[in-house]
Amino acid sequence: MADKKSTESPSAKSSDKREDAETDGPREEVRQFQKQIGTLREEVGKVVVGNRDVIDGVLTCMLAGSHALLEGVPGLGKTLLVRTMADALSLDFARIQFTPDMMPADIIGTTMISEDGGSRQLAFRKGPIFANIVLADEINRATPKTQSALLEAMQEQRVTVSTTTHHLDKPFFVLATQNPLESEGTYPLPEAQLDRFFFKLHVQFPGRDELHSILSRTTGSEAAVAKPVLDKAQILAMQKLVREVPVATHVQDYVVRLLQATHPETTTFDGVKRFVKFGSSPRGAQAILLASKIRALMDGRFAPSLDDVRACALPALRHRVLLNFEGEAEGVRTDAVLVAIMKGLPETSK
Amino acid sequence: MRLARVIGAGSIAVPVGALLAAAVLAAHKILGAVFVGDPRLPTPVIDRFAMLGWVVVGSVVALVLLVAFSLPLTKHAGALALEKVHGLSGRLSNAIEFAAIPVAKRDPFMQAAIDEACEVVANRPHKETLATSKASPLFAAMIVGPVVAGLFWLMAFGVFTGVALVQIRTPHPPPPAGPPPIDALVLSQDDLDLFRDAAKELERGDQTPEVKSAIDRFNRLIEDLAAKRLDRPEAFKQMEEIERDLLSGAEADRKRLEEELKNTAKALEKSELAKPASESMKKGDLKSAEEELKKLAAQLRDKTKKLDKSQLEKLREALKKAAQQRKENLAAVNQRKSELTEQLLKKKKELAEEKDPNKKREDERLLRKKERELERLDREQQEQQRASRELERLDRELAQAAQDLMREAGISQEDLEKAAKDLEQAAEDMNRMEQESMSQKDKEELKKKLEELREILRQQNQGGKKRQSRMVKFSKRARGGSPSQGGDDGPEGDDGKNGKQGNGKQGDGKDGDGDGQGGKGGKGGKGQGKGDGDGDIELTIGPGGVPIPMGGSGQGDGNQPGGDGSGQGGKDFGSGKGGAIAGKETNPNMGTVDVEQQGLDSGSGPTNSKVIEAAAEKGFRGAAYKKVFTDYRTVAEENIDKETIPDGYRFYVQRYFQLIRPRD
Repeated sequence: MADKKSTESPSAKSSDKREDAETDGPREEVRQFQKQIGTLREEVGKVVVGNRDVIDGVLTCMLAGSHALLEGVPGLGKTLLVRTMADALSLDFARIQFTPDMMPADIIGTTMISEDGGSRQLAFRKGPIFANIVLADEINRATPKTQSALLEAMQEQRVTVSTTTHHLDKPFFVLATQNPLESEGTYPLPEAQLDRFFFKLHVQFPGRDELHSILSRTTGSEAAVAKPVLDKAQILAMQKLVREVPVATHVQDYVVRLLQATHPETTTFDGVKRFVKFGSSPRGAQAILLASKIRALMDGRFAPSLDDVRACALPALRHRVLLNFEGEAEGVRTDAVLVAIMKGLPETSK
Repeated sequence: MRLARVIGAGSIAVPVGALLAAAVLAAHKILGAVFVGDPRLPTPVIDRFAMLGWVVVGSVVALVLLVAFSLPLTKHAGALALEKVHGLSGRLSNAIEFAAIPVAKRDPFMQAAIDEACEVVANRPHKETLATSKASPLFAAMIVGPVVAGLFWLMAFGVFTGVALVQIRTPHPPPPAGPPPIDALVLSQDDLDLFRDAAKELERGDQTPEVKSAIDRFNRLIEDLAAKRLDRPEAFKQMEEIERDLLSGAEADRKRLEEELKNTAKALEKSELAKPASESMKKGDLKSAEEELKKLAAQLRDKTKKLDKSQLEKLREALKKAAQQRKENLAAVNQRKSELTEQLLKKKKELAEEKDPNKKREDERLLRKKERELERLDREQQEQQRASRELERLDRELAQAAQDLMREAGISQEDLEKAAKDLEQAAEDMNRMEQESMSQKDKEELKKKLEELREILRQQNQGGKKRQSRMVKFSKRARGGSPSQGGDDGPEGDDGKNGKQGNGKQGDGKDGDGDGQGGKGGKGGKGQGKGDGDGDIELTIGPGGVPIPMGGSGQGDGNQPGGDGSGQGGKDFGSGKGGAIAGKETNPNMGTVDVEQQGLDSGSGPTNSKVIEAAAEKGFRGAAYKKVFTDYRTVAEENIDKETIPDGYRFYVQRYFQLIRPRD
């Protein structure tokens, strides 16, 4: 390439300069994005040990302007992760511990009579959902009615009380957690509502080194605290940048074929035909593509690759692909089905 | 990448093509060997077919390789392969994709992606320049693997084809075959003993050579079966041969003898005096003929009754003719035979000298005809000679009687006495012939045994190993052994519905109490009576011959109060045991025959039912059982002889009695 440049004509050189000027903007933006993400990771990493994939997943959800569902046994630092994120982002943070007796008003707020200068007025008192980052802890312990109230707010990013609609502040980011072990007294989220989560992230048990780090950090006299490194405006700018990233046709085609392959009616994979009841909704493809863009930006690239798609497919699809009775009975994991699809799916179509 | 694809396709197509080519070659060789010199499929045609086959196989392989090369590659296949090898994370494929978009429509990110891809490629160190050989490793991944695999298959097919061709080219003589393994027929020891005993009974000193030979062969057959040297076809073949020889010889001899006796009778009937004897001879009633000849002798001796001369003359003529005619007949046959032999020799000589093929064929046909005629005459001569030997003494005696009567002129009482003696001697000859005809009965008995053996083997085949196993167990029990002896204590199978073992209490002869239940077929009853009860025995012969329950049921005539009811199983035949007999229930509509037999009470020893019960438990042994068995068998045989038992069931009755026969 270098040789080619040296033999080009002056007009070609001027064209190159113009193109260089045009590409400086995106280059700078991407560089800035990468740097900000790096700083954020570093800051969060001061408090949260390990779980790099989960942190990246949560960041991805946030940058996509969507929400994440964290699944893991208690004590793995889910709440700490979300709180640390809120600290590092200098955003409002609210935590809702879901219980069976919780009502929708406990989340979205309620209208109360207030006295102001001797006159009584009905005033709306905002619930915890009016925060930038909401931690919905153990969401599956709330009744479906309460869950629906939260999930509607997540989707619409606004709440309607009485006749008044209240818009939620941007960025709005819900991180819900659920415990996969305890099922008694819980209300598992319906499939339609699971679909509203951008990613479903599995929080893994830390390894030996990570446990050492956790113990060192949490049993000393000084507790690590994350400093704010990004503000609302920066986050919104980053979200905007994500949407500008172009996608090559073959990559998008791969996402579409991947999505189709999760449907037993259109797939060619035996595992899907045998064990899958419903494939992913188009939201799954949207999530994959957006996440791939974010991943490319995090890596300093201008467009997502097939590897990005493959890396994002599992958290984006695992809660959107529903197994049938046979799959459940045989203990088939959705991740295994998705891995098999990605292994067998040709990278490009003819 | 196309080359790699061609090699990949070739690694499958070439070995398969080689296999097909080898198959064509093998077919060429085989057809060439089979149809060598055959105008239906000449060698050039086979060659053409083989050539066509090879051309087709080669064309298909070439076509597969061509298609593999010419099919388009997938989109960005090369870029993606390079990205994988060099860790470019989609930069190349994205840049190519974006570069295809007109510049005006590209957004800054697309342009930046293209520029970045160019920079990444351009700024790589020299040693890390993009290498297509790594992206599509033809040699390592695509050549070595398939070629090695292909070579392996080629070698395998080559070896296979080579071995096949060598085998076709050099026909090997068949390997020296040892005795082929046979599926030997197994006859239970009990049945073997049965037939050995039967053969022993048949063996006597005064039998004809044919009968002796047949009995010897029968013995050998039984011993071969005992040694498991015969399979089913061979055993049946031998049985058929024995039977055929036995019957054919016997029939021929008997017919010839009857014919010759009829001729003698025909000659004698011209005399009024010899007519009664002649009539008996015609009927084949030798005993009666003997008596009539003796009567004639007595008539000649009788001094009180003077016989008419003309009558004596006629008798003399008749006796003379009867004595001579057989010799004349035999001489005629011998004459005809010698003439035919002469003609045959002459014809053979002519045939050797004949050169015209048409005439030669005609002569050969005539020669064969004459040979057949000679064979027939030979047989006739032999039969006649045998019959002559049988009747030789009779002829001699008749001739002597005729000579004695020839002294007609001065016929004296002495002469008549001599003639009478000769006739008495002739009567003795009749007696001898009658005795000799007894051999015929032995033949029939042997034939019967052969039929039984055949039927047993046939039945055994239907039952299979299960039946054999049951037979072995039964034999052990029949001899008084326990079925569990020898470790052979498996559960006994049943042919059909299980019979239920009855439990019965045997009447003790005084009050005759007994009840019990037999198998499906019979049911014991209660009976009360005292002393002189006459029981009835009921034999029920089941269809298919399988179950023949024999339950005791009788009627007791009590001579004490209460003893005159119609209780079953009186003193003598209280139904102690139902038969532990497996099989289908007796169908009353299937031609069953009830035979009633009056029970015998000797007044001493155990009752028949006790004997039978003891036999069922301890085996078929002992004098008492032998007596009971003999009584019952006699009844059964009488009924078989009277044909009250249908043909199809006779074997089963006989077989039943064979199985329960007393063992020594």
